Amino acid sequence: MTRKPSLFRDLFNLFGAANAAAAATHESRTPNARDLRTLGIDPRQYHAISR
Amino acid sequence: MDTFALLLQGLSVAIQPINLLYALVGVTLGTAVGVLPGIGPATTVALLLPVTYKLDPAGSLIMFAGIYYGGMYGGSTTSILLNTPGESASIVTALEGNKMAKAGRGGPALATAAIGSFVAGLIATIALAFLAPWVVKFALAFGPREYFALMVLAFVTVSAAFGDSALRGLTSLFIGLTLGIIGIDLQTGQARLSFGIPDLLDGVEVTTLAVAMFAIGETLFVAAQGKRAPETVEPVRGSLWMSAKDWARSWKPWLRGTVIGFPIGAMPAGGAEIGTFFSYAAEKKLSKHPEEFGHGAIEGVAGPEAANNASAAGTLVPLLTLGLPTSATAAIMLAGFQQYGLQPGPLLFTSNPQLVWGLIASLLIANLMLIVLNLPLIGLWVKLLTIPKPWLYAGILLFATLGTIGANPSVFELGMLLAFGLLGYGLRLFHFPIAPVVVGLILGPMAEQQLRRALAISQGDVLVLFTSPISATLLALAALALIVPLILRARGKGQVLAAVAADND
Amino acid sequence: MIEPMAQANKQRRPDWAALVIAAGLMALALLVAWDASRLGAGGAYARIGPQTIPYAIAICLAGLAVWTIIAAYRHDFPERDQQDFPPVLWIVGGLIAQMALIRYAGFSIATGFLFAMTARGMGKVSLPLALLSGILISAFVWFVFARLLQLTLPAGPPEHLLTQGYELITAPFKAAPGSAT
Repeated sequence: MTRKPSLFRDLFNLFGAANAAAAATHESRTPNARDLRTLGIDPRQYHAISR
Repeated sequence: MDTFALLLQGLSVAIQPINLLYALVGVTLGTAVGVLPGIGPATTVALLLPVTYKLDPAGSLIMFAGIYYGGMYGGSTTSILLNTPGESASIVTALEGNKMAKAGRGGPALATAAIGSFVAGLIATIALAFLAPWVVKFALAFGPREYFALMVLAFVTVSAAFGDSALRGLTSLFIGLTLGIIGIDLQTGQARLSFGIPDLLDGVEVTTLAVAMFAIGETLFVAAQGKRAPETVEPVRGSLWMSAKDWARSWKPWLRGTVIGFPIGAMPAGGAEIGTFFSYAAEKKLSKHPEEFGHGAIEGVAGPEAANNASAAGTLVPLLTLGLPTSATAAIMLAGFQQYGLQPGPLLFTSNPQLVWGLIASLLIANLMLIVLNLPLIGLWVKLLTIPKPWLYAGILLFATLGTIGANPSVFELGMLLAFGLLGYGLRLFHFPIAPVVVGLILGPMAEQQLRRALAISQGDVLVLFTSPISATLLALAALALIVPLILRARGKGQVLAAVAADND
Repeated sequence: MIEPMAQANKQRRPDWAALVIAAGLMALALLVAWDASRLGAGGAYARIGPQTIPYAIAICLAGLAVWTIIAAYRHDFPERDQQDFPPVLWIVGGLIAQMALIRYAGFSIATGFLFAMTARGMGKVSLPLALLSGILISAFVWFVFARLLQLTLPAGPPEHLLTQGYELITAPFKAAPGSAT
């Protein structure tokens, strides 16, 4: 990820990660750690949520 | 007539005592199922459908909408106090909310969630009221081919575009579509996939499938996870009221959450969860105190909670104006309309304005009821959480089968309930999404009907689907929604297609 | 465990469960296609009839089956959690018991069994106590929904008893004619 920062790409990545994480939670499973980090969520903290 | 006049007319319907009662029952039930794990708004509406078909349509629909809104409110309570989200749209709330509760700030967390939901619900419902007539005007020009293209778009977005695997999403969708062709073909009277079984001639009931998939499948899945660590309810300590600083830090996230949540709900995106994650990320990026995130930042509760309620209102835009369900709950609400012989869409706005506008107006009232129900009665809702799991799930299955038996007291129907329940469990086990199955079952036959109508007009010429600019655009969007996420996912894994995508930068 | 995708491709053994799913999808595709093949083309415009969409669905299902086979070899399916099967069997048993009993014993007894066996599956509970409370709760639910909301729920001995009791209690109030309900 050495390319120059772009708001558009950031938003796009954010949206992609939000999608993937949302889909995972919708089926009661844990989202991918990378997606969570993209969204600013600490995966360890996420795992603490009991489902 | 302008929107205000219509909305006022709707309000006069919504404040009739009987409709107020339906709304109250709806939001109360909705909050309860939002609080309880293992049962969400989709399941509840599905359970109630067979039980309510003798009631007044307007009242029942107002109740269903109240359940939908209430579920969004109730889910946040358990997230904050228990770190156990009552339903999946409240997971993000747990991140900061439970940290706040542990730090003795559970009161303000609950308050910002409830007031944020109220603000978002209010703005989003008004946005719905103003947006709906526009979409209706646009949709009145739709013919069979445009509707078919729209449904194809919905199929793709619900199953493949959102979600982490296009393969599993599409598989779920096609299982639903296959179930949808069971029964007598309305145009030729021939039985399809019925194998001479009379019970199958009427097709698979949406409610049976939904109850089996959601209530029974979920119960089996939870049971199979075995023992978990005991849960601790964080007592609500200190004041429920937010301080001036809390207000100052909350109002912007509420508005941002609304702006994020509403369009995501209105797009055929399948569920309110995306908006909550997006809102959380946005709040963390924009916050002056990013270091507080992960330790109980109030913005991280205010934003996502507003977003999930705004999504709920957003989902009603395509449902009411186009008859297009974009989430499991919306699909079941569509089944609710159909149970009374009503077909949501542009025509319903002209043929039955009292019902549509009464429903929209009742959402405003439901919103008001919810804030009254939720904040002062928080202790009551927390008590619900002390119901032991065995009794809770035993009760859920009792009601799950009650609806099916009430609709059709046959052993065969119960057998279908069991079979689909096992299917739902299997799908969960292998991470297949459930919503596309339900959407496929309900929308599949409608799409087929529109396609056959379109092709009958064109005398069998398939090209007719691409000669209308609207349907061509919609189909192109559907193709994009199928292909772009595939490329993105491959790129995300850092594999083959990375090069292709890099060329686009 | 957190990111199984990353190293999964190196494993050579296919994901057997995914292959079973693929086989199921293929079987479903064949079933749908076979069923469509015996349908007559309807109407004047034979290019699209009741068999068209089933054929299209069958083709897509077959395609998904092939895709699933590829996924099975590439280990694209996420890890499954360890499953605890006895509770599942209790609940499935409860549903079967309800199905078997509902015709003969009525709603309350049948559903009472479902209630008790589900509770037993979800945690440590006393079975007789769960059965008794299940039957009582179901009888109450039956009364509310069948008598007051006029839902057709099958009646058995407890329900008849309940109805007779109800008639007995309400009989004096019904004596006066003209009260439409």
